[in-house]
Amino acid sequence: MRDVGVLAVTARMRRAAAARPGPLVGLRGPVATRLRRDRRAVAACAVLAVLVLFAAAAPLLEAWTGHAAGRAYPATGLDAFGRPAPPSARFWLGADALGRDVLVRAAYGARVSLLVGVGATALATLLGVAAGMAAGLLGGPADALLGRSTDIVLSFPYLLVAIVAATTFGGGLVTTVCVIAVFSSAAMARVVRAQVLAIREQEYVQAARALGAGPLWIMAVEVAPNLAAPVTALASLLVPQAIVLESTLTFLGAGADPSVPSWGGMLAEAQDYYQTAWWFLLVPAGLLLLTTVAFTVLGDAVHAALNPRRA
Amino acid sequence: MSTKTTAAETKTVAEGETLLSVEGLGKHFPVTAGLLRRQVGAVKAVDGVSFSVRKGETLGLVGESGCGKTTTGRMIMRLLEPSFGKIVFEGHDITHMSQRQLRPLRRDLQMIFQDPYSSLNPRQTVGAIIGAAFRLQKIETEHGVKRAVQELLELVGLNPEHYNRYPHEFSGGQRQRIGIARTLALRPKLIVADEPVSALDVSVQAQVVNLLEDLQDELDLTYIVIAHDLSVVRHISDRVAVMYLGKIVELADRDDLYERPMHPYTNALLSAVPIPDPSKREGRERIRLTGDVPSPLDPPPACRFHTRCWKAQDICKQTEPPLVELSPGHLTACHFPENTTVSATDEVAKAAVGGSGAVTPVEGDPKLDADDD
Repeated sequence: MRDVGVLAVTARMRRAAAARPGPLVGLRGPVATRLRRDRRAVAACAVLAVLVLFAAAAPLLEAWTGHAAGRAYPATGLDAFGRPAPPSARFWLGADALGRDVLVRAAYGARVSLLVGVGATALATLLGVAAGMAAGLLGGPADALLGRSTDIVLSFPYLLVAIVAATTFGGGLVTTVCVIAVFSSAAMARVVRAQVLAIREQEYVQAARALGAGPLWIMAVEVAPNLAAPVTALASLLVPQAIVLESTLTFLGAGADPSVPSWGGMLAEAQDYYQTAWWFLLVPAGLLLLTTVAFTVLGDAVHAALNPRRA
Repeated sequence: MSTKTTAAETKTVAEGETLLSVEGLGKHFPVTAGLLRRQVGAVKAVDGVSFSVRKGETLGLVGESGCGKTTTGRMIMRLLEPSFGKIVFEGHDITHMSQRQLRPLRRDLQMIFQDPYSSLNPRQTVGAIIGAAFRLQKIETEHGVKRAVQELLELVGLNPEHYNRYPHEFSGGQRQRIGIARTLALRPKLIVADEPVSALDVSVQAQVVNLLEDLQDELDLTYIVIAHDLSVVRHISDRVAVMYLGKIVELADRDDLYERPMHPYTNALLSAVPIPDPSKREGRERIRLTGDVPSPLDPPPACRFHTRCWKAQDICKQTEPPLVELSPGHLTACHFPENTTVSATDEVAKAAVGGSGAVTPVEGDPKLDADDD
């Protein structure tokens, strides 16, 4: 019974959205409607919302448990032999090797990891789409220049560059985000360029030119909407990749300030202790996995929703 | 078809003024090789074609795949930059106009595309696709763009309610109608139709061809119809130009061309058209061309058809026959044409002696052929 009501409501929304020749993507456009009706998308959004809340609630958790993120509590967090305490009423998710609260640190770590994941991906998408579209539409020397620069970026071992950048500019969060974004944008630029080259040859682009469309119209109206699907698909893969890259950099000491907790940093510290303290490893690893899966599923769903054939 | 014949006859009698004329138009695509992209050759897709289109008529452009029909159409639309030659539309030389200068002229000059599956942006609704014409040309519509688009949909025989649908929700024929509606939005004077029906089912082809004809009468349109299907061209055209390897080999009124084809290539093409009535097949000679079309990278010297022509003599390999008027309104470029007593060679010789002014060497400058830039 309830389903019928929901269907009627969505049908009405769809009609309302269809009646307006407004933007396709928006809170009330057909793409958003298709997303809302996709259970995977709703589930992924819910998981991400919980993760964001978790990150936002870090100070609350700090107050609640009485454990500051940066402080060690060796008296309660470690046993007589110096082993970290397992999950208990005092340490909900256990303690780490120094007797710090894993839950509080994971919450603060979520802030860093989500910021790096989303921030680096957004920056990479911006750079990659701009470079790819420029290469694909301008062609000739611009294409060759951008093509060779992506080759160069991809041929450098990113770890080396990250370490050099960290030592040169200081290993802050901004440096990490920029290094990850530059490396991720090379892949994005290639995908976008290939797609632009394919779209450019389509007759609808010729038709727009025949109607008097300039390069801006062709880019914005004819090409860009057809890029949305591959770009979202790739971006959803880049988010978890960026989080893992940040973890790696932190693990190697070339990432963010090690005193600021991050999932990657926690994983790095856990590697010597996981045989005695599984929670130490499992909590950041599980959160990372959850985030990765949520973004991948959301990316898939967005990809599907952007396709008008799924209407 | 019979009604069309009478319409076409009246049209040719009342000769309109020239809407578009093309002189010695050519397109050479450079072929590059190596790291430095040195030019090692050129694909001579179109190598100097000349013709003119009168107001209200339909000019058919036929030929095999790769003969340069589409390239010619795209150059006229200025979607491709011509390598040489001249395009004059309504007295304006548009050959080298910038896209900005061209924009206002685009209202009068439109194109119907071949593939209805790739000519409509899959991410846009039909309303947005057709409405783009108004937005791009900044045309104020009396009752808004939506209303204008719906009127166009009705004009091409589609349901105006389908304004908000996406292209994939339509069949091939319907999609082609959407493309035609977009073309008509600006009320153009000349429409270049590039294989408008070749991607459609035969039953749908007839509908679309008839729609094009009805629209021509209704809106006073002039067409250049590019096609490889001779029966479609015969049905829709007033005059027909036959292209082979980037050149026009014959240009004549439709009936004249189909009844008295002069160029051997045209004869071969026409003999390949199937005749539905078996009793009429008696006595028909089927001309089978041997060999492939030579590469436009390195076309044969002089007459380009000599490698496949059963009438070829030495002169065909040495001297290119100019496109000349062998009978009124019937131009052919051949040394040994059929269905006539004169040939291009005779006409040129006569002109050289200083005879009558009957010669119209349209194919102008023979230097073009030596010109390899």
